[in-house]
Amino acid sequence: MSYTLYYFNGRGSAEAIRLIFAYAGVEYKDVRYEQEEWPKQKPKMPFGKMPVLELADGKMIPGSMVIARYLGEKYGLAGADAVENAEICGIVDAMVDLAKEGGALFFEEDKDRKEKMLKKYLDTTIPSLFDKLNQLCSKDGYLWGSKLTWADLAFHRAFEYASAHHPDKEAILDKYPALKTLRSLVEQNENIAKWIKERPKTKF
Amino acid sequence: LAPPTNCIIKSIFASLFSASCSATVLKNIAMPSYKLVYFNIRARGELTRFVFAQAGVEYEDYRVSDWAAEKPTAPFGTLPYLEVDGKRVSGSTVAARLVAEKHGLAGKNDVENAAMAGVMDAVADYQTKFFECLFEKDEAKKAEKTKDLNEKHTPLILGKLNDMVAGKFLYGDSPTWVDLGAYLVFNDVAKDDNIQKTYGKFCGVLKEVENLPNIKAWMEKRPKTDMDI
Repeated sequence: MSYTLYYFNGRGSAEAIRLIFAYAGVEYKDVRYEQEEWPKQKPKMPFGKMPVLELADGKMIPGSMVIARYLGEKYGLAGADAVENAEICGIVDAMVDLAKEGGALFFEEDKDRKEKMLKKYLDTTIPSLFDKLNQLCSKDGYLWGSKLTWADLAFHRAFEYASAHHPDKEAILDKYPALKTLRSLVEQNENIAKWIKERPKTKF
Repeated sequence: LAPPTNCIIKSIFASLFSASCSATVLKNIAMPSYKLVYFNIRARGELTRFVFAQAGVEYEDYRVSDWAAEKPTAPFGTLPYLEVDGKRVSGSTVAARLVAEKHGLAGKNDVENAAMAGVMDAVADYQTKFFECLFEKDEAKKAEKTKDLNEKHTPLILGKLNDMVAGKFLYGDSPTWVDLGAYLVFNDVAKDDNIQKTYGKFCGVLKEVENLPNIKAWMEKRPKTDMDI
């Protein structure tokens, strides 16, 4: 197998990568480390963090968005040139804050801080991002151009981040009809549907 | 002049004129028109400005003064974004990476470029932690974050970067956008005597970046801003 993906046993910041692999029908070794194993594995990672993608020649690429972009561009889920690819990456870049805040929310233990963070997440972060994404998507049904790119798969992940903390998952996209359609489109893809059904059920 | 000579002179001029026209047209096709849109500070705009400077590529260094008026037109209501021939690329690292890869400040292929972007990702991550620590208002949390930074994050990343040094710069004797990014994030941290002693090779790279003629020139002529970031 050419690729090995290293991450914790969860979706987190590796799941967009796994969606890309699934959609593209590309095999990879899906290595998942539990928290107890992590201290031993940490020194093997280029910058002590995961996810990391190991290539066939042993080269290790860190950075979840860097990896997703590399695979997206390699497997036809991107644009025709460097500028188009950068446009697509810029769209995903805008989703990073939502993912970061979602992650921070998950791990926040202080009740007061968590409440404040959640309010900001639900009232500001999610709506301002989804508003813009919905506008992009309204033209041709995809976030960029008129075909599915890795940005659309990354959006599915962003949607999961948003719904993890939202009181009513199914209603989040009611205000964003184009995104609602996009979410269904992604989930109805045969490969994605199979992956979502079979992937390990994890807390995050 | 007799008609034949006149014709010859005319046709020489005509061919020179069209040759220079073609050259201009070719030049305009080859070189995109760039506009970087950011605030009048260094922060997240400076890496792309450094890349443009080192690559010797012209661009419009647009600094927003009325953000309220401009915000609705920014792709995601955020800055920086880079306009390239009318297309808009959002995000500081995405923009810097595009310019670097297009103008000789990155790797030789997609794998090398991804590996470099991965290193920059780690550097950017560190910068986020640094700022989170700096701007933390809760005293107890701040102390905890500072301890983590000094004992874990800073040594880890500096150690890795130091081990990577492959010449005058991180990847050999030519600079890449990763060297420029590392300079912007670590230049102040690296002034510490202990850091200089422990991570000598990496600190050497930062000095080399500072001494690049194009970078020197940019740092001298860039606008002085109110904020020191």
